[in-house]
Amino acid sequence: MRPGSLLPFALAFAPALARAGACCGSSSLLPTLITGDDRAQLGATLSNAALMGRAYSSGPAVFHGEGESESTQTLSIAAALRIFDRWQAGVQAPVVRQENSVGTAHSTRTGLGDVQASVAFEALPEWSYSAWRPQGFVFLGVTAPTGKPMSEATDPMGSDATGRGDWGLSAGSYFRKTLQAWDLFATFSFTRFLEKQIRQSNLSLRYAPNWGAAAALGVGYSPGRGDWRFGLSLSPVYEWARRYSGSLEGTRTEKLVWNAGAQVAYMPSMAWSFGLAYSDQTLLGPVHNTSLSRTASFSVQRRWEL
Amino acid sequence: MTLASFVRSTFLFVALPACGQSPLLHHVHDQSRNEPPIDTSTVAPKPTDETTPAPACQISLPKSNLCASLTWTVPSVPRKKKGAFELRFTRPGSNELVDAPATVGVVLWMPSMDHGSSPVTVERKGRGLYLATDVYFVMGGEWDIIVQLLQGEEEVLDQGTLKVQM
Repeated sequence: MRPGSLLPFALAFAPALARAGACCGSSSLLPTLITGDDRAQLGATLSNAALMGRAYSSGPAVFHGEGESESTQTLSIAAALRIFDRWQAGVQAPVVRQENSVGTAHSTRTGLGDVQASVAFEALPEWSYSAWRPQGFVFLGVTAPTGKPMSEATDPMGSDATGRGDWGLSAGSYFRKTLQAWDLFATFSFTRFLEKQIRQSNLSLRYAPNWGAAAALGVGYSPGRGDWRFGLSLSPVYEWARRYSGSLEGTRTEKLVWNAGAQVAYMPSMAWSFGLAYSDQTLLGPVHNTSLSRTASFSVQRRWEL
Repeated sequence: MTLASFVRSTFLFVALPACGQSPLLHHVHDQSRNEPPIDTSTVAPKPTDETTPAPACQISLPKSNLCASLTWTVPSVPRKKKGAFELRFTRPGSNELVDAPATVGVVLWMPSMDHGSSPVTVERKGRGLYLATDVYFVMGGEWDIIVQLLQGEEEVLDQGTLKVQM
């Protein structure tokens, strides 16, 4: 089996690869993509993110002390469908469960996260072999604030916050190349977060639009070009500073987090893939204004061939 | 590519971007943050009696020509413990307590994370003296404590902000 066949499945880990580090609600900045010769795909990812602490605009990161824990379990369903020859559409919907524990106080809440939809075009198809030219896609996506942002959380510990509260419009590209038993991939995307209004108590704030960016680089190896793939990846996620006005005026400083990841994928047939992934936001820096999590994921994907 | 060259390449691939500070290697634990909140404003705290010179305004409410000073009576520990503080209202340059001309409200806001915290209860204790309770910070970091003068429940007549590091 071609090792590159497992690369499409690597994108099932996209939520783990590029988990936005924004507080209290995570979303993937990469869409679900069909990169193989498939008509449709449906996948489910179950992840557990243990929030180790937070980094602020200045000073060292603060990790949780004893008797304190925060974790997020997410079940994300992702589907993609080939519309025309090289065009496809996809959607991702997460259900988020947050657990907060401090001493004897405990809080658990579940809710829908931010839903994402995307359309992609295979700009560099793999019609014939090339020693150097990668396969490439360009995509456009939209993130809807269907999750509850922290500013609207009613739980005292913020456990019912499941989204970031922003409409986001994304554009990006994805490239992959298979070299015998090895594969390489790279993806880049920019997101425009639209203006938003926040009302809390007697505060009324308007947040100006701002930009976010994400990238991911990865390498994988399939021993004997068989059914297994072992991969590593690195994904920085950055958000520019954001002005706010109204009851208060100021600028929220930029956000930056690094996702270092490892993945194992198994593809027993062309129709099914399974995988495990680990992503760690505490290893690399610098980091600013972000939560810091360690995430373990299990994914399964079903594909339908053309 | 051999395994050795793969490992070498991977190490460089990871090590190069990590030349910044790794959170794993450079962090503090929450246990070390049990000290009282730090007032990050540049103004000195209030005097203890009316004979000492009045300090500069800790929290300025310019439209009402008022100064508010904040003193923690029960330190709040982020995520762990609700706190309480006293607010004393005076005229700028004076130590004499004066009543606020409207309802006093307090809002907590974390500007770096785009959210606040659970509502704060404010009760008048005497002339120019108010007690804020249920002061709970959902996480540590830099917060704005916003003191408001309200007409009704929503109309804000005046407000002042104190920045604190939790």
